Amino acid sequence: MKITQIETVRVSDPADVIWVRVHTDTSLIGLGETWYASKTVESAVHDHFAPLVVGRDPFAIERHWLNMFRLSDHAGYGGAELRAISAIDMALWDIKGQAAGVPVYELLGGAVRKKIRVYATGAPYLGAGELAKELIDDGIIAMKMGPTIPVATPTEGQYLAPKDLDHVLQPFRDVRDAVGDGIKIANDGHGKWALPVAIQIAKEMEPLDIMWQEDLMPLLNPDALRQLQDATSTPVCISERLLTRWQLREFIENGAAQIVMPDLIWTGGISETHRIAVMASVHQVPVAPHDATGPVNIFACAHICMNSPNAMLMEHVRPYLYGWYGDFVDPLPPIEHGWLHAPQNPGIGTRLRPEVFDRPDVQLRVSDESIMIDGMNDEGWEGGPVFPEKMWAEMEEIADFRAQGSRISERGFSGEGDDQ
Amino acid sequence: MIISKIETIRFGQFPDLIFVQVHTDTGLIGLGETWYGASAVEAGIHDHFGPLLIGRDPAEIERHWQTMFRLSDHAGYGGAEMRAISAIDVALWDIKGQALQMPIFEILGGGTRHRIKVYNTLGVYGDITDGYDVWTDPVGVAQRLLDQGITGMKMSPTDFIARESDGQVLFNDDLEWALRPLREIRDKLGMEIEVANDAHAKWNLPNALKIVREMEPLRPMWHEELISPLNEKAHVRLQAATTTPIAAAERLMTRYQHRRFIESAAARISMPDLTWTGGISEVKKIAILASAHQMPIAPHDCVGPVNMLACAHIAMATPNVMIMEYNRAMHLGWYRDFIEPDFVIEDGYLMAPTEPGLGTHLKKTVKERPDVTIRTSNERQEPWLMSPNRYTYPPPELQEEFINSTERRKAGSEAIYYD
Repeated sequence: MKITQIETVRVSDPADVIWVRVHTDTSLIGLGETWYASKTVESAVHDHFAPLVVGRDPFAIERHWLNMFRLSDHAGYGGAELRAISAIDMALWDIKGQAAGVPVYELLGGAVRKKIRVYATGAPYLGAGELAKELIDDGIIAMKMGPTIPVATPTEGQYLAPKDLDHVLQPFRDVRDAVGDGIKIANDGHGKWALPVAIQIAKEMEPLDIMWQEDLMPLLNPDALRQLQDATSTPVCISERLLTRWQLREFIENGAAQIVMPDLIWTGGISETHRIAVMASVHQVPVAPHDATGPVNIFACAHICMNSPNAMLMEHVRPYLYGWYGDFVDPLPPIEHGWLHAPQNPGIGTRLRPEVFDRPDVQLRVSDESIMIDGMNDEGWEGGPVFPEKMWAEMEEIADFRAQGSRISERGFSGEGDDQ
Repeated sequence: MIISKIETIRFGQFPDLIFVQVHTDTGLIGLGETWYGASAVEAGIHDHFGPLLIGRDPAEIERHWQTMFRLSDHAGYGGAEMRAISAIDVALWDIKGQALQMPIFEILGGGTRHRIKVYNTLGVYGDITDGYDVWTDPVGVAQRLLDQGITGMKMSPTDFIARESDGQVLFNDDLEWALRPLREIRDKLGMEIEVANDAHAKWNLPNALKIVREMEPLRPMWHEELISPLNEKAHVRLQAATTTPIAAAERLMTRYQHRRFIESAAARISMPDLTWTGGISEVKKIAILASAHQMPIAPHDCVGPVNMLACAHIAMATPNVMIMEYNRAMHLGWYRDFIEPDFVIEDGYLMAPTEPGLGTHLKKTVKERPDVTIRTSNERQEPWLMSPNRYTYPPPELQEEFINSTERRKAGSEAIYYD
């Protein structure tokens, strides 16, 4: 099988989402997704990574990940390029799952579970208690909100007046008053606060029994975050902004956090999130994948959650799930009564709806095999991140080797399935 | 698909070798293997782990690994139980690969390469006597390997001289004598061939430090088990004393023990034994952990033929694999009596298996050997750790009352991890 085209699909609303479709010389098309600064991602997909991938074997996922990562890391990995890698990686797993006829989690080692609890992100300042009741009625056992975010702006997070802190605690108190211990509540700080304020917030919230404190501080210094974790009994949770196992490693190994929240479509796709979950497991730390982005991410995370013994909970945003997700994908993520179920279809488990391509605001861009003659496809540029001809030759050899198929059979294989 | 039968096969002539075959109701059979204390492993498989799997879906490898590991770790994981888990894990991957019609490396993420360089550990079996010959004709042994395209070898020059004092006293003279073969190779062949040192954990720390300093000019590929891997801090001192990489070796069990060596910079190479440390599932995880520290793995062999195939799949799908161990005396001596097709070594490389699954089967003649011991299990047993009647659980009426008291608990009880 060969990759023939990489296609990106984006729309004006929501402007941050972008889908990547990897076409092959068979009828199989792989679907990937990422979110944030979609035009930059689009450029990275086509101008930077497509020439590495088009014309190659879609099954060599590990090789593609490494090639793309190295190309990007020549000038410091991260950002839009890593989001592009994440989306392409997901699409490659989708192709492989479809080719094998099984959901992706089967390829990651198989299921440890067939469903996982979800939590709901987002709550109004007024009415959080009512929302909590509604969530519980719908079978949802946990929620997340971020009431400290708006009060950080006036001081750039450097100072928080006690009465302002008291003010932002109100939604949490509402929930506890309305449902007692009936629901777990997480606080998301979106990386707004300086260390002393973060400690102040975490301590003040402790009596409200917070499930985790997520990104109270910017994720720039593991030692600083460790001080926060040492100061509070609430688990510190990190973070969708930490990219790849290499950044998360620092925060996990130094004990700065007790819960890991990778964003699959930012941190390196299914491949890298799987690796992060493995790394977290040796520190006996759970993984709670990040969402609040697009619908395909939930599918990809579902595969991680079904396979990872240390998956804790999966995020979702109900207004997205029951709102715009349905305009774009079919089927919707299999979330029912508080549970995300194992996707049943082969591959990632969903497809873009055909209407998406007819939208007046749709922006499609395609890189096909004509790009293969350009630029650094085969040899890189001199002095740059060279992928030596040898390496491509090796990939060709891999393809040839596979095409030969029964090479070993010719050497006298006589084994049969039965009677051994 | 469900698992219908678990079968173990071992031999009087090879008291350490044991194969496990996991049979399914579709006729697919998965093959696994481990090495060392085969009768204890056999008991572990039939009395402890195998019966958990009967009637269950072989595709849920991760779940089965967790359940077996937890059951074993109730009384401290390791040893024969870990080897039993490793063998079963390999057999489950074999089934999955056959069912999906893919070599296992495709399932693990797809090829990063189609062959991996091997080094030859000097062994002795039948006509091949590399292990003896290296003392009398070291250059000849090295040259014969180079002629086959094999550019690395592993020897254990210091094992013999450790014997007298049990590794506690080391005379300069003795070490000089033991290093003569390696010096001769360096004199005649320069760096044409890489030579790794495996010391089988015979030395104490000060003698190990002396050996690494003395061997530094001979540029060994790595030092493996100069001291026992019981204490990673001793290895930190050893690694700090030499530019030669220290390899953290085969007797470390699971990612949890490897973690200590990887994170503390006690070693620069991880050498998991796939058939001891937890199978394909666990070696893949150890490789991921090592990758976060920019360390390679170099899988261990000298155990059995199926291990070579299983490690081949890891090597094809894992970027940070450095080199694969190979023992031509064992391979050409007896591996081929047991499996077909054989794995392929070409120009110093182990080639990617191309058949679905593991890529090999037991030969039909294996079960007809006069020295064979075959044992099978086909009755399911419930894992007591997950039993609703665990001794730490409340009586059934109270359990029911608790579960039915809220919607949350009712819904949760439907998602019990292993039933």
